[in-house]
Amino acid sequence: MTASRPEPKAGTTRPPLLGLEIAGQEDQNPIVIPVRIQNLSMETVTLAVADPWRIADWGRLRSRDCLLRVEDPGGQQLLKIKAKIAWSKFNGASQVPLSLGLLLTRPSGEALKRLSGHVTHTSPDIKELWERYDQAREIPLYTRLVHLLYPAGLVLLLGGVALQLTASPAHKLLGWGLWFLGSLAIAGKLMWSFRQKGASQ
Amino acid sequence: MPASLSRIKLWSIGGGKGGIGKSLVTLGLGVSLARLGKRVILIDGDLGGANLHTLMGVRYPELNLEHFLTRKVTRLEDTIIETSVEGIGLICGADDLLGAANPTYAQKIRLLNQIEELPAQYVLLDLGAGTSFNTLDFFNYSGGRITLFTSQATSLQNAYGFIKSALYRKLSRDFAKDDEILQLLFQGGEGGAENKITTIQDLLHHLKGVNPEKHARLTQALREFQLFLAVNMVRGPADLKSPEIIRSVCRDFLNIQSDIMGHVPFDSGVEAAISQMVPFPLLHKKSKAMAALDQIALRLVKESRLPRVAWTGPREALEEEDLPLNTIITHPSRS
Repeated sequence: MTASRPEPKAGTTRPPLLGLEIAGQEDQNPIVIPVRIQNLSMETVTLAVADPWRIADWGRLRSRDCLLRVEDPGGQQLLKIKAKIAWSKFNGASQVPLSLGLLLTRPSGEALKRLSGHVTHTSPDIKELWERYDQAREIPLYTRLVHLLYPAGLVLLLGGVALQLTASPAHKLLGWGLWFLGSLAIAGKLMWSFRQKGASQ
Repeated sequence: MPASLSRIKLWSIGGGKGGIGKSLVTLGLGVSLARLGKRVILIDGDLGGANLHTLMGVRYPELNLEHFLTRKVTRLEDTIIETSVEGIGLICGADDLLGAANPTYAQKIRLLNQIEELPAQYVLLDLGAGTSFNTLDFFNYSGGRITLFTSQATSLQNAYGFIKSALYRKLSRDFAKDDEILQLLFQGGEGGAENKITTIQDLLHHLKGVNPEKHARLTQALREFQLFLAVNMVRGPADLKSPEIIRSVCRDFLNIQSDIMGHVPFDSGVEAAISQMVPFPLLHKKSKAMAALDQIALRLVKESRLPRVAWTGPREALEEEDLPLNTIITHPSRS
């Protein structure tokens, strides 16, 4: 989609607290465009772009990597959050000429918190409700590791069995070791699952 | 019973969102209370969308709230329908006819006054979805308030919205003649400016400095807003985090304390019971969901007997609890 530039509006230009950095063509410097957050979830953000006219065709930027530059109010700390442009939509003559959807690339809790600070059109309790909801849904690292126990145990078991089939006594011994570790991993995962089930009842 | 002890008779079950199981939980709680030997009356407060009677297997209720609201029946007591469950009476909700879904202030007062006179130890009021003033008023009027929700994002959002709306409704009534408080209370919510009062916490902080008397009144009003949380359709440990989210946001932003009353596990047998129009607690007496409802019912009985004092102060029971714990199933898998 190609942007046609309307008459520029009079007003003061304030350094952006939130900017979208898009790599320029070939050797050109990256372009930084002031943006405002319209919506934020765990992995997506919708931006309002008040002045999208520096880029002629936003449609071509779909799937392009970009950076969200988040400054603190003092302008001293700059956080760059990796994202990908998912969609763009021109809104005609409305106050927000362009809405832009970004997919955040594995955003950290700190990054989401900083972005949340830039959502100014809702009350703080609603923001906090969603932040706590996101935190509650985060799967802890140890849980993710425990989920890996099944495939890991299975691989060890099969590896152990394969080594058992070889003639070498040393390999057979190693095979027993792998077999034992694999069984242990699967048993551990089973016990963990039972405990989790019990905790929810 | 000492005169100072105000025992809670009316409990309302609300939650903002439809389809979260308010009617089923109301029914289940009623059955659990009846199994404890209590006389219970269930009222379908979902004016305009009543179906509690259907869940109880009553297809053609002869009388409902509409008859009372339109004065075809003088006494609310006369609209009670006896049901197949021993110890439970039912007052059916009104259809969306003749304006029964939107009772006038006078009709509401008449209804609420007569609820107190009903011949039961416990009256459970199943509220409709949404945050209409009627729903909020019934919720606020009740001595015991249970906000029910599931762990779904939409339910969580609506539950918090429901609690917030009910609290603001209460405060707008408590401070109806205080323009300053009302202005400060309702100017918030839109966010933005640095010095803007956006939460009740901000309002309290503001009043503490400029008007300690109003600060004390508001603090008291917030303490009076006692609230219980219950989560329905729990499928795993992650779902148990949702009441904690609501509780912490209510505490930090609305300055109200809420108690988690319990959780009800998801039960796939409920659907079948609804289709058969058999009250699910009767069809699934030993289900985990019913065991959980039994526990919540015990808690309800206990809380009903506690003196209604400030939440921050210590709670002391004025009489020994004497609950027939052995009469109910505590856990089906261990029984």
